[in-house]
Amino acid sequence: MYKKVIKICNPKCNHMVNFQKVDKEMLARICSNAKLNLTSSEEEKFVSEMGEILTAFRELESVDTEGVQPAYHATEIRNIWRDDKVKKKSVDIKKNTGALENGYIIGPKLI
Amino acid sequence: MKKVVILIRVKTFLEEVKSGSIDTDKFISDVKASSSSMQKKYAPFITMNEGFGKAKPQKGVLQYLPVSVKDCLCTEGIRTTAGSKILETYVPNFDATAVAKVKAAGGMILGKTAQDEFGFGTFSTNCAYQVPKNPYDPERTCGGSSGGAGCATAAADFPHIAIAESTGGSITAPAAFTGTVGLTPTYGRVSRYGLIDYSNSMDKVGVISKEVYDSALMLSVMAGHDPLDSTSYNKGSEDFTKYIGKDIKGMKIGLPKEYFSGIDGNVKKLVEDAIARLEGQGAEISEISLPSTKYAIAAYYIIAMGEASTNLAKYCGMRYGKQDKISGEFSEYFSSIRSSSFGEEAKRRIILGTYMRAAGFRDAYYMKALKVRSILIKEFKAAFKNVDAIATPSMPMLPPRFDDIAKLSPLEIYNMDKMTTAPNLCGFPTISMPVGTSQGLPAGMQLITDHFMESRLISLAAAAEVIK
Repeated sequence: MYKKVIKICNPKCNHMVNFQKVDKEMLARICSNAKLNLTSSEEEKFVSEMGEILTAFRELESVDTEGVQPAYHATEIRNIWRDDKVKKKSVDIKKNTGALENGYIIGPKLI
Repeated sequence: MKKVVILIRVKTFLEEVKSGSIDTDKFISDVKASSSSMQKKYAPFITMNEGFGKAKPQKGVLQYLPVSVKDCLCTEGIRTTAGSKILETYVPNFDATAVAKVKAAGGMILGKTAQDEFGFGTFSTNCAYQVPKNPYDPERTCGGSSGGAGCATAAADFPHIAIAESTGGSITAPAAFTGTVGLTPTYGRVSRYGLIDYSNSMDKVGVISKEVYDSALMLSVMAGHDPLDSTSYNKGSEDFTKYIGKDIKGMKIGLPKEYFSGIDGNVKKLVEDAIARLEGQGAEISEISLPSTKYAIAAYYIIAMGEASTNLAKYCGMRYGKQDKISGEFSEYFSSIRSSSFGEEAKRRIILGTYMRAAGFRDAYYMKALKVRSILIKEFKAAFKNVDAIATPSMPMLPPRFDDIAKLSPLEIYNMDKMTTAPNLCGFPTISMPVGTSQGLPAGMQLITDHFMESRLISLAAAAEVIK
């Protein structure tokens, strides 16, 4: 039953074209940016799934968006700023930090 | 002698607390015992509040009411993980605004409810902790991502309301699958301060409850402008319970034809029966069309993954959450913590989101999706010129079994969000109403109105409600 529902929900899923090939090299570049290390089994799985998912998302290509402005938010609320005054008592923002030295957060070396 | 009552409606309970006729000490002790037994049976909580009932609650409209909180909302002194191992040790030292308002109104925090990691899921199966089980059939899902909220609300044999959260349908899905009421307010109606971000242009704090009255009451408490959230609506709150019992005669309800095909026949029948009940009370029903909604799933997931990939960049194992012995160079340490702590779906969404925002792909995916969102908002707004509300099934099927869910691919699961992605993507308020059961399993009807028209939503939902 679920397979039937899925097919009707998105009929294009079964008629995909391979628009942008995502291979292991491409995946490695993305993971380097996203700061993730993948196991080899994760690599295999994600390469295969990404091709399928991205191809399905490419169905937006068929929508005519000429002259349409992007909606960064759903409502027309714009930034509503508060006065730049301290109102709340401050909280200890380092309460959950494990590695501290002289009140500073210790991190790994950058260079 | 004061009453010792446990199974009682929220409205009656609050009235009796006010009149002083409830033995509150006995009530607290009974709720602790009952919630502990519920946890063993269905696992709705990630963390139970050890301090529940220890301090006298503040005076207010929710005094002594047990309230559960989805684990993506910060709670002072209570562990908050957002369903992720990367926040396993995180204990906030502040309350999210919605939580603070509920506590100020006398609500008592019962515990933190189970969810898909950061909200990444439709069935609460992407949980780093226990998966909540459906009280109607423990072999089936409660829906996601606010699965614990739906589970606790359905299973509780005491007055209780859940604070939930939705990005793309995370209140509607669990409400439908657990036979509860799920209210998702307009984006910006309730402050997001203290909410752990998934997709900040779509995240909305809402409610799951047994009755429409409970959701309306909770919205009255939580809504209103918050100077700590620059996207919160700059209006105050109001008493939304006053919209219950309003005459719905002449209200126009549109049924989008795109939402009534390709769904389970049992669900369709139950929703059509509920619509007939509204028609019987004078609502005018007509078929409408929302042709661009077929693009909502793709547009929603592109934007949600893009925003999630940036929001999750802050988890680097240094300031809070999972931390290891500091060693190696920055990228090595950062990648190691993230890779060992994020679950599979979180990694998938970070990778896809990073890809779709990357130079060369950004216009084709992310910017295109934002433009499709504009088209969808316009299409819904045009429909709301002719109808007061839109009704659809909440989910296209009855709650699935865990073993069937395990056979689905990620894309197949994303496609299950057909009913909920468009209104969530466009920030419209929705309510999911229980409409009865088929084969002993619950189904829901989703009502959608224009931005900030929760009043109309509540009137219609109350008219459709069958109180047990």
